[in-house]
Amino acid sequence: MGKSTVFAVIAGLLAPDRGRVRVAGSDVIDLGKGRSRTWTPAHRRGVALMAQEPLLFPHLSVLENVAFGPRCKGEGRKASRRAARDWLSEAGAERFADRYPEQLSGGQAQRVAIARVLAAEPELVLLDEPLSALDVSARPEIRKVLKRVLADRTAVIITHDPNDVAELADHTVRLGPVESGRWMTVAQALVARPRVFE
Amino acid sequence: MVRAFWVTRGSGAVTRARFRTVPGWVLVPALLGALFVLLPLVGMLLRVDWPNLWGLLTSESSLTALGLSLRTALISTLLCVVLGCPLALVLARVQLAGLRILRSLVLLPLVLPPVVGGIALLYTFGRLGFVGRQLEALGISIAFSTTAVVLAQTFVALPFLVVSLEGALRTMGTRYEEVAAGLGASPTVAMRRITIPLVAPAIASGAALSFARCLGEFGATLTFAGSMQGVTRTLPLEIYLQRETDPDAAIALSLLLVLVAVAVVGFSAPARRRRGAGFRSGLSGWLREADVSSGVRLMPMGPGPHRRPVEESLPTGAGEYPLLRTD
Repeated sequence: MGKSTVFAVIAGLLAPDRGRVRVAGSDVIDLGKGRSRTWTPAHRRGVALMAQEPLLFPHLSVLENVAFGPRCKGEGRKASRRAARDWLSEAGAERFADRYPEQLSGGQAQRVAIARVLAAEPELVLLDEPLSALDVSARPEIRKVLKRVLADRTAVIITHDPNDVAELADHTVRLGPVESGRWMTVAQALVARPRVFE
Repeated sequence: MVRAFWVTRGSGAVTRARFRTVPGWVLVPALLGALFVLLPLVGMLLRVDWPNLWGLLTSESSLTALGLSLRTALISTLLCVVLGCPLALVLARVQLAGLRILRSLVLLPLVLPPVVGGIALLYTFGRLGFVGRQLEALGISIAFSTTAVVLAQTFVALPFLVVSLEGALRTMGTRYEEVAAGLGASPTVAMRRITIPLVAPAIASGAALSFARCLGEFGATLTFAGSMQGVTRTLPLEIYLQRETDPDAAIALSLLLVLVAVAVVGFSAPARRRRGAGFRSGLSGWLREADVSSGVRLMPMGPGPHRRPVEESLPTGAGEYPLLRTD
C-alpha cells in the first residue's frame, strides 16, 4: 500500500532510507549519502494527518480535543477553547462540544476530527480515505464540509471514490502499476491544492 | 453459514447458553482448583478468635508492625510508580537492540525466590556490597534499616507495575500519539496529555498489585533488613514471629492481610477491565445519568453508558438532529 506509506513519511511517522521531502518550501526530510542529514520531528512539521478513523482522544471532551492543537502552540486555555468553538462551528459540530467521543456517531466524530485538524492550523493536511469508514449516506455531508473548510488550504487526499475526486480535487495523481517501481497498487491520490508537490 | 443460521434462529434474540466451548467434565477439576484456593481461607476463618480479635489487632506490637508495613509499602509503591512507569514506557515503545534481554532481566524478581533477592540486595547495598561500601563512606548505612525494607519491597514489587503497564501500553498502541504529534504536540506533551491519562487505570491497577506485593513481602525483607520491632519488622514478619508464641495474634493479623488483599483485588480487577477510554466512558455515562435525573437532557439515550446515537437513521444536515439538539 504505497499511498499510506507516503503519507506516513511526509507526516514524520516513518523514515525513508533516503530521499527528500519538502513541505511549504522547506526540507523536512533530506536523507541519503553525501547530503547533510535533515530530519524534522513530526510535531514541528506542520503536517496533520487524518486517517479513516477519527481517532479522537477518548479521555478528552470534544471541545478539549479540538483545543488540543492550539494548546500545543502555546495558546492559553481560554483562547484555545474559543478557537476550538470557532472551528467546531466551521465543521458543523459545535453542538457536540461538551460530549465525549464515545457519545458520537462515526460522521459526528469525523466532523470533530476535521475541526481538530484545522484548529492546529497545519501547513499541510493529509487525509487518508477520510470518508471510507463512514456510512454511505453520511458521506456527501462530510464531503461538503471538507470542500468548504479545505478551500484555501493545502491538502492531499487519498481516495478510491470518484465522487471525492469530482468534488474535492484541483489536481489528481493516479498511483497505478509502475513497470519498474515499487508501488504496485492501483489507486488514486489527489491533490486539492497542488502547491506542495509542484 | 451455519453460524449465521444459528444467530438468526428464533425470534432474533441471540442466545449462547446452548453452545458450550467447555466440556462438562472440566467443571470437576475447576471446582477442585477453586476449593484448593478457598478452603485454606475458610480454615483460617474457623480458627479466628473472634471475641478477642480487636484486642489482638490493636496490641502494641501489632499496631507497630501494621504502621511500619503501611508506611513502607506506600513509599515502595510510590517508588515503583516513579521508576516503573518510565521503565514500562521504554520497554513497550523504544526499539533498541538488547532491550528484550533487559526486559527479561528486569522482570526477574517476579520468578526469583525473594530470599535470593534479599541476598542479592545485601551484597549490593549492604555494608560490604559494592554500592553499600561507597554509601558507608558517606555515612549512609542501608542494611537492617527501614530504608532496607523499602528497597526490598520495591525490588520484588516493581515488575508487577512494569508488566501491567507495559501490557496496557502495547494494547493501546501509538495511534493517539501519532495524531497528537500531527497536531503539534512534542513527545513530552503527548506523554503528559495523552499517554498517561489513557493508561492511568493500568497505572492504578499496577500500583495496587505492587502495593499488595509490598505488603506481603517477607523473604527479601528478612534477609536484607532483618526483624527489628518498629524498624524492619513488618506485618508478615510479625505474623511469622507470633506464630510461635501467640497463634491467635498471628491468625488475627493474617486475617487483616487477607482483607487488604481482597480490597486490592477488588480495586485492581475492574480497573484492568475498563482500561483507557473505558474508564472515562464509565465516568461520563454516570455523569450523563446524573444530568438526566436532574432534568437537563443532553441526549435522547437510555441509561446505558455505552449507547451511541445512530446516525444512519437521521438526516445529516447541520442542525438537523431533532433528537440530539441540546435544549
